[in-house]
Amino acid sequence: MEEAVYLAFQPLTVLAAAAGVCLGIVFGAIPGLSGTLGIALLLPVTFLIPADQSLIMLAGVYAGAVYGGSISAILLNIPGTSAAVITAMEGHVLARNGAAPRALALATCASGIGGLVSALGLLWFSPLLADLALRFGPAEYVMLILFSLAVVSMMLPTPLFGNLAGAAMGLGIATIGLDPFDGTPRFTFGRYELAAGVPLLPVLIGFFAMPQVLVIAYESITRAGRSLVEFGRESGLKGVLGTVVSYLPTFGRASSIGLALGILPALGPESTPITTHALERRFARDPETFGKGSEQGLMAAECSNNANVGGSLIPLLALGIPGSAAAAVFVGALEIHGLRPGPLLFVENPTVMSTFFVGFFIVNIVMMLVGLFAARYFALVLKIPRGIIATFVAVFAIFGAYAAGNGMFYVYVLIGATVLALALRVIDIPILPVTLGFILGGLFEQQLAIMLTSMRSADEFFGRPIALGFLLLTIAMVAYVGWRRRWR
Amino acid sequence: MFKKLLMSTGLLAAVVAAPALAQDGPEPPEGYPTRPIELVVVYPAGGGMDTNARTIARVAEEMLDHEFRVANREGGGGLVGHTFLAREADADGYTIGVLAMGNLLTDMIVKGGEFTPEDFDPITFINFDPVVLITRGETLPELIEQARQDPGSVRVGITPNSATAIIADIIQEQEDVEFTMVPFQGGGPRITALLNGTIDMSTAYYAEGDQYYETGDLAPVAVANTVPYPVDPDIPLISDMGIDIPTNALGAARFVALPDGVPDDIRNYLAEAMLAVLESEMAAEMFAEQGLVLSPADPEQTAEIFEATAETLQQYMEEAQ
Repeated sequence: MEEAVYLAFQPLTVLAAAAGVCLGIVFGAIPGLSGTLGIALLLPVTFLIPADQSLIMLAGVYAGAVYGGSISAILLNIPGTSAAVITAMEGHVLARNGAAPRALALATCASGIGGLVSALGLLWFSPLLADLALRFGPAEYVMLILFSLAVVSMMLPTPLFGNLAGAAMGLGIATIGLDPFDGTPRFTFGRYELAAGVPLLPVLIGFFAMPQVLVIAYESITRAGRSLVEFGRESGLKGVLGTVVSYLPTFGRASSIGLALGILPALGPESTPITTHALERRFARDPETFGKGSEQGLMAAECSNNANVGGSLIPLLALGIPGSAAAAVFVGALEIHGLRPGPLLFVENPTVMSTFFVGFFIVNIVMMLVGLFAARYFALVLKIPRGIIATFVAVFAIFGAYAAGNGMFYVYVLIGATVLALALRVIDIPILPVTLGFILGGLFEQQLAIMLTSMRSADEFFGRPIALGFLLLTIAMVAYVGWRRRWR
Repeated sequence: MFKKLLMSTGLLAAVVAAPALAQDGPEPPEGYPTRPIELVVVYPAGGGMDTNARTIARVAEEMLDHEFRVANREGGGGLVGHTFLAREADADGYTIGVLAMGNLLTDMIVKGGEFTPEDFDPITFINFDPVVLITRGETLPELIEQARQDPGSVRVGITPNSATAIIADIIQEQEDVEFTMVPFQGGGPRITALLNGTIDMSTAYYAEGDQYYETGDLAPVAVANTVPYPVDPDIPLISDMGIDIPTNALGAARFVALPDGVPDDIRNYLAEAMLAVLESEMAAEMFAEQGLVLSPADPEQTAEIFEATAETLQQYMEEAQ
């Protein structure tokens, strides 16, 4: 362990962490560029440096990107990554009220805390948490997803009917692709690309980045509204830290949910903040502000998605199961250095792994420092004319989609998703339940197929306490919220 | 053989000594290539086929001295990438597919893919990876006996409508037992499901579970082939248990293939170059590190293997339909 700490604090290793974090922040902040792309681009570079340094650098890109998405989310209401959707909702309102520096600082601290908690989990509890992830069978997945969908549909302040309709619509979109029971394509409308299902990246850019691009472009043309947002006065670090300390229970909840969802291989940083945010509303000091610029909501979302990053590395390393697209590219990086992810990884390469774990702390600390001290430079973005911002973001979004899909198909999906998002705004169906239904729908159906075929009787289901617990929790919540909402 | 070995050692030495001068493969035709050559993998980054293709790309770059890029066109269990190669990719030698026979055919026969094996021009055979059956320790005969005593009690993980499903069907039919088939979308999740008891036996490719064989949590208990598996020849053969199955067909027969219609000079160059790449010591070493065996074949043999595999599988699949 001493050796690992010594190795992790080598100047070159810290430099690798910093380089990774900075690159990640840039890639995260620009919609269309993603952490996955950043890791893929850096892969060749990692040939040249030792295994521990390259893993730390790539983890820096991954964590930095998840954090970086919040910068454009807060300043422009354009989530740079799909993990920053909630951050845009809460943080941009704060920025509009002149508190951009404070919102950025809170997001930075929350991300850092989430990341550090997951680093602790990674360092001390990897085998334990991996074991827990392994116990999570199809019944648990089905009930957890049901619970997540119910939480978001019930807790969102928008009308219940719209929330449920949105979730159903999201689940509907997710049925496009292979039928999980017999493996044949379904609802592909003659486009062979749809056999893979509707791709996530262009849909999320279309849902969240493009509509705001259009708004900014429109404002730029009509010269409506004086400027984007005023950056506002630099916030005192003391005030920010005070706020952070006073919200410790929020961080406790958000980082445990983020970590817990992260260790489940199939739940990535996209859906985590949505669920966490909806749950946090239940504990909010002033729930009315949720979704309208709540600092508590902002911190919960940002903390949970960065906790998810460290969490998702656990099944990746300990079981060899990647939990997200970025994590899948990570497997390639491990293999380049002759490290096979799986149960023997820790046995065969103890030093590399513990150095990496210590390095993951450094990554998160560097991320916090960069975020806190470079925030004033992020503000330069706001000095750019709106027309240029809108063009720049639109170009990157479209190129990013083109690159991710190796062709025009993803660009068409992007345009389709943008149109759908605008249409949903018109008919007043909230986009969050649609998004969550869409992200989780495929997994839900696959796990349902496995559950239904592998269980021979209902008794088997009742013998699974975690699954049963989620089911009862869901029923109780639906009954409670449904009853309360009826009498309002 | 010795000559070849000596030659490839020489090649490797040349590569190591003077990478800038590397031009160890055959001479390319005039005016080709002028831009990077794309290796299309129809499966996601990080999987077995992807690793294969990336290794090939790296060796090819060293030996042929031009750029190769790996593009993942995944989804639909391979349907998306296969259709792209057959229908949309230009036959100009800048798009090369790394394919697995097996899924290519299921895509056609079961999933309504709009292409035929003739749309592909296989130039180099890479290797054959048979499907293995893995359990938490029970032998295959034990599980068959259990299924006979209590029909449906043995849950088998498969990918619906693929070679893995055909194998489970063959065992069911010939042994006259009933398994419960549990559908998965890929090999990784099946390993997890076997570990946590959701299923009792899984169809898999050997490498998917290799670390768990070492830890003793899982064991490969049968190979769906009539010839021993080179990586671990001790695994019992399904054919030795009295089950009639084809040779070298149920699994992933991996090929480098071009879209049909690439100009002859470019095609022949690529065929020669890919063979040189796969026969090089560097490739052998890198594949061995990943627990993979290479059995490269020249274009004529490759075409024969491709056709024979296609025919056998087609027959089994149409029977199963």
